[in-house]
Amino acid sequence: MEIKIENLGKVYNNNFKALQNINLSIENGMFGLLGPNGAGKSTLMRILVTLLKPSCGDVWVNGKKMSENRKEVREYLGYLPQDFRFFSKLKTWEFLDYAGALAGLKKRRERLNAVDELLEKVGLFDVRNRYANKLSGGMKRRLGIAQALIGDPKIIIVDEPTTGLDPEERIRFRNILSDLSQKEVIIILSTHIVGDISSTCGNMALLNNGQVHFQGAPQDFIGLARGKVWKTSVAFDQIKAINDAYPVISTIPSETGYELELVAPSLQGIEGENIEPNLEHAYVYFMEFVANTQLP
Amino acid sequence: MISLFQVRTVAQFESKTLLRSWFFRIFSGIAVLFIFFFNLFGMTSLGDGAWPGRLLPASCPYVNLFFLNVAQAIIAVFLSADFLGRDKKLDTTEAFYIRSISNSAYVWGKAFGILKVFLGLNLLVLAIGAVFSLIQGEMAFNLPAYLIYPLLISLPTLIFILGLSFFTMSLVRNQAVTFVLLLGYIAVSLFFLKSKLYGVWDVIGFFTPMLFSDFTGFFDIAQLVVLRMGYLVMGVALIAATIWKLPRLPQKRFFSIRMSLGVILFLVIGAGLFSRYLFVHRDKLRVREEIALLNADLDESDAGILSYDIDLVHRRNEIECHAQLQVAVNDSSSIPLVFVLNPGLKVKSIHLGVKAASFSQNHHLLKIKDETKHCKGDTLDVQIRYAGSIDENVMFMDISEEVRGEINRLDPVVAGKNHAYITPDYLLLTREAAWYPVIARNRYWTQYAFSQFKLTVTTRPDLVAISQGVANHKQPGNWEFKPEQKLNALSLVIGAYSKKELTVDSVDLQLYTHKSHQTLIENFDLLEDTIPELLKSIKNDYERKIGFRYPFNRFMVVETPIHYYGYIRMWSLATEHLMPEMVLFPENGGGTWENDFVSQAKRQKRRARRNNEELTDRGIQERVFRGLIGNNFIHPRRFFFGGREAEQRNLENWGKFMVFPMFFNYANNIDQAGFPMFNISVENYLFNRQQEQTGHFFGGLNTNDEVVIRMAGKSLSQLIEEENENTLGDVFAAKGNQLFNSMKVSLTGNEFDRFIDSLIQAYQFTNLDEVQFINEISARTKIDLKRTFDYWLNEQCLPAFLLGEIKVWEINEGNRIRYFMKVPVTNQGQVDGVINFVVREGMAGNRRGRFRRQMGGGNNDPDSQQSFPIKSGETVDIGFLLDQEPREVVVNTLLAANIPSSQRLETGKVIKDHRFNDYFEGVRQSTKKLRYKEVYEVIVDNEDEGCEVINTGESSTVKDWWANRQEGGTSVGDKKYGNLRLWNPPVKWELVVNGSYFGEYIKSAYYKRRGTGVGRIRWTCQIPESGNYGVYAYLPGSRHHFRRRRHTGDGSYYYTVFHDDGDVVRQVKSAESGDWQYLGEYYFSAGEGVVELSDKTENDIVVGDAIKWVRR
Repeated sequence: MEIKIENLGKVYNNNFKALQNINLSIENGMFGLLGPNGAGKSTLMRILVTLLKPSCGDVWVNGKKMSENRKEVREYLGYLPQDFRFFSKLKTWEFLDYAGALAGLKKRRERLNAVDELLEKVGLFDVRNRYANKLSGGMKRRLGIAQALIGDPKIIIVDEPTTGLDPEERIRFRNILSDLSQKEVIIILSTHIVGDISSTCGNMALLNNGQVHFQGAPQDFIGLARGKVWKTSVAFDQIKAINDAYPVISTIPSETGYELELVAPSLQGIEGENIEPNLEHAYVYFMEFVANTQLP
Repeated sequence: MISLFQVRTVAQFESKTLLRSWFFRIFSGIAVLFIFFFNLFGMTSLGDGAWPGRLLPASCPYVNLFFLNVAQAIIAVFLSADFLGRDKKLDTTEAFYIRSISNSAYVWGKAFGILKVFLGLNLLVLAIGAVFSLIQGEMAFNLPAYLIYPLLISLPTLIFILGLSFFTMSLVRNQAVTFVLLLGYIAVSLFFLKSKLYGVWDVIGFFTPMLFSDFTGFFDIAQLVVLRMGYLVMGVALIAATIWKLPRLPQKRFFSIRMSLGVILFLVIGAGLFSRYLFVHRDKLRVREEIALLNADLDESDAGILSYDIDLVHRRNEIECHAQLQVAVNDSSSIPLVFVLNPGLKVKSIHLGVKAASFSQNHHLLKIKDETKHCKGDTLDVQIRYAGSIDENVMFMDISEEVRGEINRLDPVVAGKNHAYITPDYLLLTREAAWYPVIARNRYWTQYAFSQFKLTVTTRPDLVAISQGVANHKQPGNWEFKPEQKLNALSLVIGAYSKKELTVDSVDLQLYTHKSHQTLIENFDLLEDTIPELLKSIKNDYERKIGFRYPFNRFMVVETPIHYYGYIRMWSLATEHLMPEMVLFPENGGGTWENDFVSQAKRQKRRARRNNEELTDRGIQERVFRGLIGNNFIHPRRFFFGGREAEQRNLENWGKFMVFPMFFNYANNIDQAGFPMFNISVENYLFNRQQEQTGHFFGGLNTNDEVVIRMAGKSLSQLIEEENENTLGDVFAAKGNQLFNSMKVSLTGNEFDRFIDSLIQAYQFTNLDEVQFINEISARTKIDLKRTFDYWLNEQCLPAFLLGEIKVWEINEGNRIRYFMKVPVTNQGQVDGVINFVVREGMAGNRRGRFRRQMGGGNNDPDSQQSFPIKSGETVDIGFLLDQEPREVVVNTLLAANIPSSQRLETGKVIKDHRFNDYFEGVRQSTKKLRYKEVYEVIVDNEDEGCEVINTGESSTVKDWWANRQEGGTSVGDKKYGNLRLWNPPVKWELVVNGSYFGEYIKSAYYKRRGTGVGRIRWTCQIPESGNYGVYAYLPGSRHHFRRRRHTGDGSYYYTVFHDDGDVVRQVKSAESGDWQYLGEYYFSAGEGVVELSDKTENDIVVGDAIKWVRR
């Protein structure tokens, strides 16, 4: 499986440029799409799942132009929308059954087996007869992933899947996705939560203001911030000045003041030691010092 | 290609969610419950309210779907508009939108899902109907109807409503607006458009005739299918258009173009179907207009057809006829001969004698050219060969388009209006079909001459042919009919009939029913041996009343398809439902309550129980049978609240199957140029003679009153000239009755009646020339009928009667006690008039009640009816000598300024004065001229100019609004006389007529429902000179306190008298009504005097009539 996005742009009716000149190449495995709120992640996702028509450029799936081959492309797709809360009056298993039938599982027995299997997998088997609307937020999200997975899609696109989930649910969710990424499928995960990507994605892109600022492996992205993340201790009265001067990632109070982690190309006026950056550090560094200057 | 699997999948889940929606559950539950109870009580005759229409073939699935369709159309609007709205609202829908499914499959899936749910609902409703109709067992179970009706009624409506709401929703994208638009559309089609434009707007099928006949199936099946298909196809087009507007990217490129082509294609087909439907109707209208022009140009003809010998072959949808006519030509001017023949029948050849003649056929007119000169008295042998079918469109040409457009509703279902049939299995031809040629003369359709007929029929061997005369069934499929008398109408019915025969009083009674309609007869299984005696007594009774014997040798009742329909004509009481010797009776009794024998039997049982009568089953059957004969053939009554169609003749106690026309219309003809006024007059005189004419009990106007109002200041000839003669039926009838009543008074007692009877019998089955008729009448009555007739036709004024106080004395005549009643009458009008009294003596016996006048009911002794001529300006006392105390005196002023024309009079207390000897019988001149008021009195009646009303215009509730809508009645100029509605009185002051009200000639009053005191009536008079005046208010009699006595009787009315020293409110108990009520004595200066009545009262209604100021 391969998705190539070429010169993709989207301008909404109110002239808002949601996406500009997006060029991405996505291969099997899990792909993380990182970016702040409003960066255009959802727009890109919606284009990728054929819900939205790009204003320019196109998407190629396995060498086929998406705009001309929606039927085929849709056959590969599994999609979990960003909002996934309101269901028509269907039971949990019926909802999956419906999705399975639309995904092309024509044989009823086969479909029901797939439904049960997925319910088991996402831990909803016990509530299979409950109306989907009556599920808790986490359960709904799990049902969402289940419906995205039914019919063995080759491209799975999940939009902000962990928003609003408690940590336990979030871990569970990540694990399901990790399991999947072992198969020959593309999983595109859009998120503004860095942790989601660091733990699972082999590849990622950073989107800001409708443009791609980075594409590559998360390790490479982290590499960008190496030597720019500092650990330091400051007195109580210094904290305000520091907060104003540097992007502070964590603030831990100590007996004499605070233990801070902050991102900066260099420190001025305070002492600190470099620490090994993680994806979150890289993201903050990137957003604070690279993205804004890089912009055309 | 659309994947069926996907359509099915979407449909399955859509219907699943719909079934779970509470909206659907609640509303369809209500609809099903309503239908269930309708079936429980209406279909099974469990209770008293059985629906009589259940007896009609296949009416059960029809009526169930008829009701359901209204409900499901509304539910469908909500559900279908909901689908797009729901898609928008539910964020989870996107998970399905990205699946590989085409937009078409998705939308069709949704549509089928909704349809599937409704299919279930339809099946449920049909199953309910099926169960109940099987339990009931009165009618044959018609399985195909259960399959056809859903396709005919539900499917097109649902698809169209679905398509329309889908599409509207996809355009406006707002669920609420879509609801309003769609529900508005349905409401407009139900309440406003109705059957306008030939019913093309009727999306619900509420006005489209869809009853099924066991004889002929559906009415105009081609047009029916075209219309319903039109809606179906349009619905499909709209659904397709929704696919095109669906907010989801299509699967394929160029999809939109293909889609729009599809939409356009369906729209074109749909539009094509609708235009075909309309064009067929438009074309019919065009033909009718052309024919009307031809008819207007027709001249009088002095040719006459002496005899017909018709050889008719019935072949599938056609007949082939060979008619041999003997035509009397009186003058050479009769050539070319012009006949009328239905334009659906094409003439093949015509021979005059042995010579072939040339001819032309222009619509219904058949012109035969003949060069030979003829002399007076010659007869011509004309042989015409023609074949074809009947064009029903050109029948009843005199009936207005408005009346033609009215639907034939059989509460609530709708039947069609067929006037003739030629189908492979069924044939029905009456005179109106012009299936045999008649002479084309001016207004040929208003009077038909008598001719001798002979008819030979060849048809399918398994069918039965029915026509007038001695039937000779030579061999299967071959019939010959020879009527004994000359006839002015010949009819032919062919169908799969079974026959029952019986001879009563030398009349051969024949009952022809559809082979499968035997259950109706089973209602009278116990009567088999008594029916002849029963019928004999009914027959004799009726003949005694009419005055002469039934003129034919046989009486046939022939069951006809439910769609068979004949209009009421202005010049005749006969309809095409009645032919000589033959009543064309609707299928299974036509689904009317009087022909619902099971319910009738129940009613009889209940009545017997209430009256503590012991009634056997046989006795009950006998009563129901009497009811059947009486209600249909002898003395029909119209349903109590039943209105009449526009322009229809307003007839009390009249029905389409009433046999009266067989005694006159099909036995006599007074041949008159122009309008058949003599026929109309004699007919109405005879008809009215045998029945009581009373005013409406609830006020309102009877026919005669309406005529009086219409004729104000106009002569009959003026009316004929100025107005559409089709609307003058009532005027003709009332005037005709008046003409004969005025002649009647020239002879004493019943002499005139006996003379008319003998005259009619002497000229039975002949064409009586008008001159001869005039001579005969004039010779006997010594009245110059010619002059009277002209005067009658051209006189503009009406007599106007004032009636004085009636007095009754108990007197000694010889050695027995008798009663003398004196009625003073003055004719204030410009012309002479006739006044008619019905006096009933003695105590009311075992009366069955006012509303339950059965056949032969009512003590309608013609001897108690007396007419008196009163000259213009004359005052007379009319004396009656009676053996018993008068119980009821009804005066009928006929055509006079008095309204209501028929009133019951109060007789007051009997004066016991045995020395009184100034008694007399009949008319005695009087010197005491009656006065409406005394010289010292000033009266302002509600009819006077001094009376004005102040309406509140309060319609605060829906109930009030509805009450306002319920208005009915007759408008006169800006005045309108409504009917007294005690259960639902009007919110505004309304005029109502009643004999118990005060008035000089028009006895009317204003009334309205109880109000807040804002609505008022004001009487303003001119006080001639200053002084003390006693003020009186007239409170109408208590007759309208007939219902809710508790609330009506004990309240008061509040009058405000404005006098010189201020104003005073006087309270008058309404219970003390029936006369002038004293409001006190006050001083008034010369000039205006005012009294007001407020609508504030403790009663339900308030009535304002007249105020009187009496000089002290």
